[in-house]
Amino acid sequence: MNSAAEPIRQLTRAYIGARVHQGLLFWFVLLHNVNAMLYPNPRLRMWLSLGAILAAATLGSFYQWRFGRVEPRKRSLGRQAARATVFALLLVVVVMASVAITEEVGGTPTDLIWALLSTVTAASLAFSRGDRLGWVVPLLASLGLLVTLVVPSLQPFRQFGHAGMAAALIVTAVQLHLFVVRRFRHAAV
Amino acid sequence: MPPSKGAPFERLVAADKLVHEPARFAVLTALSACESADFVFLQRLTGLQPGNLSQHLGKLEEAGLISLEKGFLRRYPQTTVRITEGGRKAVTAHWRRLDALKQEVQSWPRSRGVHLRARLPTPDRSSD
Repeated sequence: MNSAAEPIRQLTRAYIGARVHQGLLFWFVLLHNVNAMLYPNPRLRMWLSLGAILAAATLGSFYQWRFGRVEPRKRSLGRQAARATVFALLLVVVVMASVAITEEVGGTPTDLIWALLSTVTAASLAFSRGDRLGWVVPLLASLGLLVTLVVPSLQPFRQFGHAGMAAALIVTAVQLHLFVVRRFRHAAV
Repeated sequence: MPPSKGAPFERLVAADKLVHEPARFAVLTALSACESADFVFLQRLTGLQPGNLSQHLGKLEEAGLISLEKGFLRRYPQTTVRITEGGRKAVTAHWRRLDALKQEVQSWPRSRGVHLRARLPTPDRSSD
């Protein structure tokens, strides 16, 4: 489609991305990384979880009040089924690969799955903005995290890996938020 | 007029005015990228006043390019707008036409532009 149509479509897509990804999934992966950074403190974790749910609800309400509601395009039933099948297969492969890798080199499979989920969330936030190089920061953060999770000599420094991933998530989310707010501010025909 | 006939400017003048109007064009383009959007989103996107946007939406609905759904969300009125299949085709076709026109104009030799400029009345500089 015409390049002149792209800014409007991009803003629509970015707004959908901001509403969908700055939802619970983003806050849960951020929370996981922040919790992993901190010393085990159940009370602090509980407050952080409550804070994350509250932040997700507040931000969602703010977006709806300020910029309205948009629903993403629905795919046909056939495409939905195909996507679900691919996703299920991918999930099985990821779980099996995580188990195999952790058996070989150390670490736990759930840590690897969380790291992958964090990377995918951060990358999808960046892609919503239409940034073609949006995968660079999440990839670097995930590589840093993976190294500290898998390499035995670096495992004492895994807090730094989680801190890097949390920072990448926050940076991409803030960038998407600013992109949406600025584009709406200058939108007029 | 078929898109392949006539000079580019004539084709531009003969463009579908219902779709070509900037606000309606922006609304249709945004709606073509999503399933549905509400009135507030379209208002923020276009920067139009509510009454003005309502009029544009009314025209698009009359032409069958969008469908409006009025309801309530927690006691507040909410208007949800969806693009129809006809609307999607119309906006895609219009962007294609504009693209073709742009490419055609860009491919013109420079001498034509000079020729056109030469026809324009020269400003009166006698008072300087």
